[in-house]
Amino acid sequence: MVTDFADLICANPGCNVSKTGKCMEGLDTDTCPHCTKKQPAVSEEVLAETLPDSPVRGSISLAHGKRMSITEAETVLRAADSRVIALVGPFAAGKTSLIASLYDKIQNNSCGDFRFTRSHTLFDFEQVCHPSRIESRRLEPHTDRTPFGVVSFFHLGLCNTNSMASLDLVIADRAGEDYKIASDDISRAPTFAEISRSDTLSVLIDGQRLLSIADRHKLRSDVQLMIQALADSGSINHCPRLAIVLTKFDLLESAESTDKVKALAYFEEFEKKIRDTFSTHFQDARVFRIAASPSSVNVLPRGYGLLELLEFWYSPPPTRPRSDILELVPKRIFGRVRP
Amino acid sequence: MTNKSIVICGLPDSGKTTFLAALWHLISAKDVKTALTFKTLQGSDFTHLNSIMGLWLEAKKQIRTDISSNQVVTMSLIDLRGETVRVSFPDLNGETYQRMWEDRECDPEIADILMSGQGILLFIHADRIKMPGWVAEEAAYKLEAEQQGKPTEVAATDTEAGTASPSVEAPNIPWHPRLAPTQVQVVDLMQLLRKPPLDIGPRRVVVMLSAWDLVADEGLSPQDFLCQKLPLLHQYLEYGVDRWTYRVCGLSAQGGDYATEAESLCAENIPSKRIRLINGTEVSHDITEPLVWLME
Repeated sequence: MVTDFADLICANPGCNVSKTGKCMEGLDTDTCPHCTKKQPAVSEEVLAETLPDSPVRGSISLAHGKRMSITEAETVLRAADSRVIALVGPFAAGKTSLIASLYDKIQNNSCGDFRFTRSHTLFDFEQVCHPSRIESRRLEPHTDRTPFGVVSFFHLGLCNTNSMASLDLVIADRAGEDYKIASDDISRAPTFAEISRSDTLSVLIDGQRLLSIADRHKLRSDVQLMIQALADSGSINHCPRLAIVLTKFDLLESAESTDKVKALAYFEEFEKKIRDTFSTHFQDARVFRIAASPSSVNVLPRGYGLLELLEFWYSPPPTRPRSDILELVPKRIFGRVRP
Repeated sequence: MTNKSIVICGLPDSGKTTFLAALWHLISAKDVKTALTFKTLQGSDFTHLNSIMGLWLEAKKQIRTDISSNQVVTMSLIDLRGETVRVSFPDLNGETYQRMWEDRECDPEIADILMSGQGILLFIHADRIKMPGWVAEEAAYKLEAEQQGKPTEVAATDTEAGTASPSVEAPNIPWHPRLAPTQVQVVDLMQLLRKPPLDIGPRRVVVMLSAWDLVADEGLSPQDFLCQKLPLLHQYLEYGVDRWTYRVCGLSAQGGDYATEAESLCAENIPSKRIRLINGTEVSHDITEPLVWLME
């Protein structure tokens, strides 16, 4: 039995599940979102069988089409008008589902006045969409977990047909576990490059957990502490816009009427609390209700609410606070004379 | 005399070789008035062109282009101003382009060919467009069908072999790049041509919607077809920052279905009239016209 839990790893550094077999949060190891099994070492023979064919000698590498690194994202940001979107929320709040659903809406030409102009990450967009596509042969839509410890970026170039202005959305994809760790250990927070560079911080509130009386307080605490960690570390001193996004809204819509009313009332109080508590850290806070990948489209259509969120993301970047602007004071008195 | 090169792009079975066969017959037979006309057989090897033209005249399916051969065919033609122009058409296997999407690499020889073309002829089989389909919609469709007592074994979007509809027996098929919708693969291919190491600047492209006779009943113009069936590609070409200058045509190069209409196709006295090019509302047999536009 010892070897059973010796194979476990927890994202929470304070948890001793690999030694004791007991989850720090009292959860079953199969259901704890932070707990995973160590991957067995892969033999060279197996590796040789599973890896794709090695490149033909002398073949030319083309653009990879996968999620971008920070360096690659910076290149995109320097090249054209752009917006950086950070998605913050606990594990399984629906961050990757949101990204996949937005891409599918664009691909299906159902994004209002927005038109596709380009994407450096089509290959990975397709991969994250796959578990919700027919070809996966799944019976319900699914989204694979984002590996924790790294941030990567999706890229979507859009043009608004009203203004004919084109810009690049650079959307950060980071595991919820990383943000949870930041609220436990604030020294981790400043490494979140996507937060300090974000034009819009989108905080995702899991609608499914709001329906659970046992879970909703923990959800609220988790989210509040995550934002607090970002604020205390100075990562949001640049005052980005704030989108408070209620995800999995289809589950609330299909819930019992009283449960739905209670969950929505709880959410409204919750989002007001966030806005009041962190009012000095954000500009133009807005609330959105979305159903990125509902299991049944009879309740709400796939991608419900995403167009409004996209319009918010797309709007002009927030003005920087005065303190952020570097003022050069001339040394000579003559240089300081104003007309 | 000037030398021009036009790159013929497209995923496997998109009609590239059939186009070349029909083009060579149209030019060499001289039965129909064309914008580009035949000059001479001198200076080139026509073995490949004559071979594929023979199959076309017999209304037989083209043999898949050998991936290792990378045929580059050249025709000596006369343009509308009476000037001689040697036009090269690399006849590359569709797997070459598929490999660019799936493996993100290509051979240096292919890269040289792709960068040599003044213009691009992009082929898409109009009747084999793989569109994205979603589990949630499929489940709702099946539920509705069950409630109406209809059979539910219908895949919503795809007619290509080897793709799937949901079933209980075989869940969780892992992702493979080949499962991506047609428009995504094609858009990425076009993007790769505008990125290093293949980028040579903005070019013209003609989107050839092949097997047009199979979709003509839908009553859409080629432009509307592109807009409705391949919206991502349409938007990329129309609004994209890669600055392609594009046109879209419907093309029926075979003239009909070889499986069911071979006899009537062979019975046509002037085989060139099997060819139909739909450009906006105009219908003609002259498939050299898009080539002239690409070379302008």
